[in-house]
Amino acid sequence: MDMIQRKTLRILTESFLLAIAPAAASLFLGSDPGFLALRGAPVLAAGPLFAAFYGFGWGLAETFMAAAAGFLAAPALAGVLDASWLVMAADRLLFGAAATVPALFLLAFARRRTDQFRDRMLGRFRLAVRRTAALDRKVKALERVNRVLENRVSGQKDSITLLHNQVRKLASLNLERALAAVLETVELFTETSSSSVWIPSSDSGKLVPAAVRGWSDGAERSAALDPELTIEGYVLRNKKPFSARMVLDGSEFDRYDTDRNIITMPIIINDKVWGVLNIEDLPFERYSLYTESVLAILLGLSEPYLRAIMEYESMHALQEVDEDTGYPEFSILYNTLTKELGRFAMESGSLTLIVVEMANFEEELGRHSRTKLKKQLFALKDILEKSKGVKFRSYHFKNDNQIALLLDGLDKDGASFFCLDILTLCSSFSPATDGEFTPLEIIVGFASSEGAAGGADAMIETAEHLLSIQRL
Amino acid sequence: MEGLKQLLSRKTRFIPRTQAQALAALSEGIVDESVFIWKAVNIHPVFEEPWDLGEVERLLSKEDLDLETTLLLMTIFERLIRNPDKELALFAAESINAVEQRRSKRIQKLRAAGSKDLARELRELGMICFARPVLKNFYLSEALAALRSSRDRGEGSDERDEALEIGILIDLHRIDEAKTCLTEAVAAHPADRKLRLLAAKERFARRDFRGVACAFGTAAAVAADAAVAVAADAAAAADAAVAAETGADGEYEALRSFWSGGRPCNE
Repeated sequence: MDMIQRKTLRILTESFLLAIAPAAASLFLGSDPGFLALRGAPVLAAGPLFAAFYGFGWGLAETFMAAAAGFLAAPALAGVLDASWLVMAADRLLFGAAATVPALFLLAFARRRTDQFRDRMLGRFRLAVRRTAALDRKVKALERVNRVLENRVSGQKDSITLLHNQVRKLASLNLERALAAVLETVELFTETSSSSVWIPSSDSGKLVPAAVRGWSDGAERSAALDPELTIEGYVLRNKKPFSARMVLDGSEFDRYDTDRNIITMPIIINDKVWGVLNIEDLPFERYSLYTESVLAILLGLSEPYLRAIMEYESMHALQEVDEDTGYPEFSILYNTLTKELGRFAMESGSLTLIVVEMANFEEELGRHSRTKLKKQLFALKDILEKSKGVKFRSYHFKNDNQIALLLDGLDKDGASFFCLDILTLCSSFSPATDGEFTPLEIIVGFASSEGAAGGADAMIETAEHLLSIQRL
Repeated sequence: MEGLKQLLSRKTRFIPRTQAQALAALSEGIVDESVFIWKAVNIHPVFEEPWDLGEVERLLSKEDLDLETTLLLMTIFERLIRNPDKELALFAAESINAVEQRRSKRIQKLRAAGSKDLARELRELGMICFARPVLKNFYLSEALAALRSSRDRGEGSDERDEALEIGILIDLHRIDEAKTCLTEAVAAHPADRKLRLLAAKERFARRDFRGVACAFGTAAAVAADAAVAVAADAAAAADAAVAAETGADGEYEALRSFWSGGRPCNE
């Protein structure tokens, strides 16, 4: 049974009940079947009521049904249905019946107008609801888009402003800080987790790290690379960048170990390769032409700053050489010590600092010039080198009567034995100064990097502490 | 914030604090359009020093932050936590805690509901803890365990889950295990590009650069074969093969082209 059939059945039931209700009431309420005393109004009221709810047709049908029930069935049941009753009913009902039909029309018309108005309102309401829902969907979509856009903008890690801020860090004339800034910028713009800058070492001829980033503690790494066997060396020699996908092009790189290299680029200063930037690890998604270009741009931007630092450092190094002896000053020793200790933090090895002090320097100043006495101390160093058959790195220490030697590969015991050798040698030796022999009173302080913490300052302090004990 | 002209033309002294407040004030006529534009549209990269803590807080207050933005915020907090200013360091520590708490609550809900998204959420939390490798590995291992236990319970596993498992194994540097999973997954779904990309990623992690190129080459061949098989007639087959070769997915093709070398692939 569909909805229309159900509705029709419901209306028919209602009309039947409403038709018999006044008739039944008239039977129970007294001796006036059909409410003739009231001119049949309760019976005839059912029709207009139905017309108001269901329209003119249903109202007319209900009128007939109610009239039949009220004026025929009820009197028949009450036993008063005869010709005189019919004449009286016709007389009494004439006005009511005449008024019912226009009332039916009027109410049906009002109902239609109300229905039309309601339909119009409902249509407008439905439209408004549809529009609101569509607007709501649109707003939500735009909010999502706005959120994504906002996140894209606020989440930018490789913005020009950031690049500008990073580049500003390079202008420090401090190589260590500048290289750290370069590696930090590389990390920000490429998302590399491990990168390093390698430079050729003048001592060993190998490549040594000048700066590293993302090297985890405890991981075994080589801190001195053979330029002939590594990609870093290839890049340094050929002044050409290396990228992992280049191994696909030919057998040129087959002899190299590429485990450590994703992208390796030369750092060019004054048209010469100064060092090599190595990207050791990179998310797969970030390995692209874009990253290669970004690296080239970053190195291009760094070049003027690094060049200025190099020029400054070479000028500074020239200034920091003692005029009398030609040996580097204490500041160079301090920098070298810091760099070397940094290197030993990454690879095994040890460094020993030996400070040799001429205790009778002040006494001898009355007889010899300061220059001559200073030279005499370095002459002692030459004799030591000849005697041991090795070369030491020699520097001036804090005072004119002190020199410092840096030795590699000695442990603490080896260093103390070496100091004893120095003292033994000095006791049997008096170098000539202008034909005169100056008696040398030597005291020695030393410090080893082995097991020491605290860097260059701690080593210098240890050596000075030993000297101060001997002075007492 | 504003030029002199805007300052002079301002209707009231009211300065909205949020975008929503600016919009409400604009619709009520309390502020003019320029104020709304300043408050609502003036977005700038948050990863800039000096840090814009207001912007950081605004982003942090959003409940539905995506992974990228969360990672960015965590990067900022990891830097701020080492700041000599104790208040800033405390702010960073509390923010890290808030981010982790939020994710943990989400994980608890997913765990209680037995949702399949649990593994994905755990992996994201692992990625968020990038600065603490032990915690990161713990969450990644948890994600892997959740994924595998879901499969053991017979809840089914599709290409998406397989890709997730392989991704987690690569993140955990369990490359050999990832390779085994990949071999099985690729055999089951040979035309799946995501799996092929993961194969390339796994080989990249092993520093097998030729293998990466081979993974892309094989993927292209499989796609072309599949297209030819699907096409009914010869002409359509040729068109489909060309379409597969040129690729609807521009980025994938760009990646493949980036990795194409001069040497033939042996696989």
